[in-house]
Amino acid sequence: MSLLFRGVLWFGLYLVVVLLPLGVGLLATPGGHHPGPWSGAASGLGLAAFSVIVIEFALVSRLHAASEPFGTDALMQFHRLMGLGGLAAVVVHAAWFAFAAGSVNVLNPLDPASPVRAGAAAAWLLLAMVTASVHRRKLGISYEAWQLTHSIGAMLVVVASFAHLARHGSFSSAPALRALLVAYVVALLLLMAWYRLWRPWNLRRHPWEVEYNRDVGGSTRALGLRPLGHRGFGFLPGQFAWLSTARSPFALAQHPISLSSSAVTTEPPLIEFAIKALGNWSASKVPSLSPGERVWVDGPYGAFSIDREPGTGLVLISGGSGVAPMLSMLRTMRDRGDPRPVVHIHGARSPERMALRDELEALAGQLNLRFVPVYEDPPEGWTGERGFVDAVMLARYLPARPQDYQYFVCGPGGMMDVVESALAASGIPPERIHTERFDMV
Amino acid sequence: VVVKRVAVSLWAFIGLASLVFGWVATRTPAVTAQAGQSVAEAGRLAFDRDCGSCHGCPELASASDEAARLVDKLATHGPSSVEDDLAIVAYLVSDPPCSTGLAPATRTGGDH
Repeated sequence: MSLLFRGVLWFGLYLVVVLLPLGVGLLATPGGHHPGPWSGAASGLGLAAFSVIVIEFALVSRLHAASEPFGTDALMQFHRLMGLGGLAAVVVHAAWFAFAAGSVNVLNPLDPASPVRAGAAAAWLLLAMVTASVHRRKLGISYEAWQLTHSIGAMLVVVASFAHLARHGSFSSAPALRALLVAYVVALLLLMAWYRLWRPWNLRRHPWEVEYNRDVGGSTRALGLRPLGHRGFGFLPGQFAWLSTARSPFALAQHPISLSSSAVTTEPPLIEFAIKALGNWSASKVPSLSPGERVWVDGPYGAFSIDREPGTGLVLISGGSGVAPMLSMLRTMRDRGDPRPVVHIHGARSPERMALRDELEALAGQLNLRFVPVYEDPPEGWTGERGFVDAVMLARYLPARPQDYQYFVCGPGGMMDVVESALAASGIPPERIHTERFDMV
Repeated sequence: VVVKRVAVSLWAFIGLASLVFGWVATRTPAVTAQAGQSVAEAGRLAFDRDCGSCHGCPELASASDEAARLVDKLATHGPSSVEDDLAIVAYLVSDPPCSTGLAPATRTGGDH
């Protein structure tokens, strides 16, 4: 079954899950009041928002079958956008009924007189979660703290929303609709049990050990790992894995890190991550890891790979830690003897602060590769590219038939926005532009 | 870019589906009250029926005064509250103003 067909099937299933409560609500006998078309629409929006919120967890629960057609990066972006839309839907739902009731007090979850306290609590909690996710860095919340509170908060939102629907829903008093909503919650609980219990338990049976931990410049560590008592896993160049350095794989804190090693199998099996010091974990814990220490690796994931996208040539555009998946692609091409032309544009603050600079430059001599370093703060006498990667700079390096190439972009969010827009403006078809974003929160 | 377009389109579709839901759900007749059901249940079910032919119905003229008064109240003022509606509908079903046994579809402001 092709990835496209599977993608269509999964998207169709998503649509069905989101809209089924509305269909069942129409067919089932309503047992409550009949509030008129606008209130009915607000109820429908609330029902759909509940479905969206319940299924949000499924989008990021690392189900291989579901993530393969789209890629984890795309699913995470979709999760984020649907969460924002879900919040907007809940706000519209709540605002309409507050307007209809003629009082905003109903939105106060602490007001004992409010008949919809559970719903109001769910709405406020959802608002807090979305705010913390969108502005995590500005609010000074660590990734680990955010991960923990996001998981707990999501569960509380689902429980409070369900309580609201069960007690106050205009249409959810119908047995068929209530049964459907219960089924959604049960499915969510089962998925959480798989994600939080079975998956870590499986990881525990397949530990990894630190083989080496090297400083490769640019505040970046190259962390080599070898499997302990198992064969490891194969992966596509450009994919990533979730890395945990906690004592137990059941710990919540896990980090999505791109594999930087070649996808060509080695003997003994060995994988490598290039980890830039960007937060508490990567700046303090990672450098302290010693050979022989045990870690947990859940992977591979992601659709960001040259192996999935046939093209006569490649344009790789990276910035900062975005170099890791590019390095994996280039190392793999070298090991395979891939003769296709490659342009690699990589942004860094300065030559001294560019991770893996020596190897990137060396690869230019081993592949049909044009390596273009771009420095924000170049050394005196530098005649190459400087500043930030933008449309004008890109135009200088696009191949003669740019629509025949595949474009891979990975780096800081701002750079990716600029590059994506520039590539689209240059006439590159969207299906040939592939991105990997891990700094969404 | 593609993901954003898909998400925005999907939310537009969900919004449209909710509007359709609101419009249809408050107009579609529900099921017919069945024999053997409790008055309250039958009332809830009958509440959703849209007979559509009460106005000028000769049978209504011969209905009890209370039933006729309630029908008139519903036709004139529409539903007032959930409790009122259910009480009225339960009464109408237990003392039907017409031989069809159908209660008025008050939520659309019908003139039954």
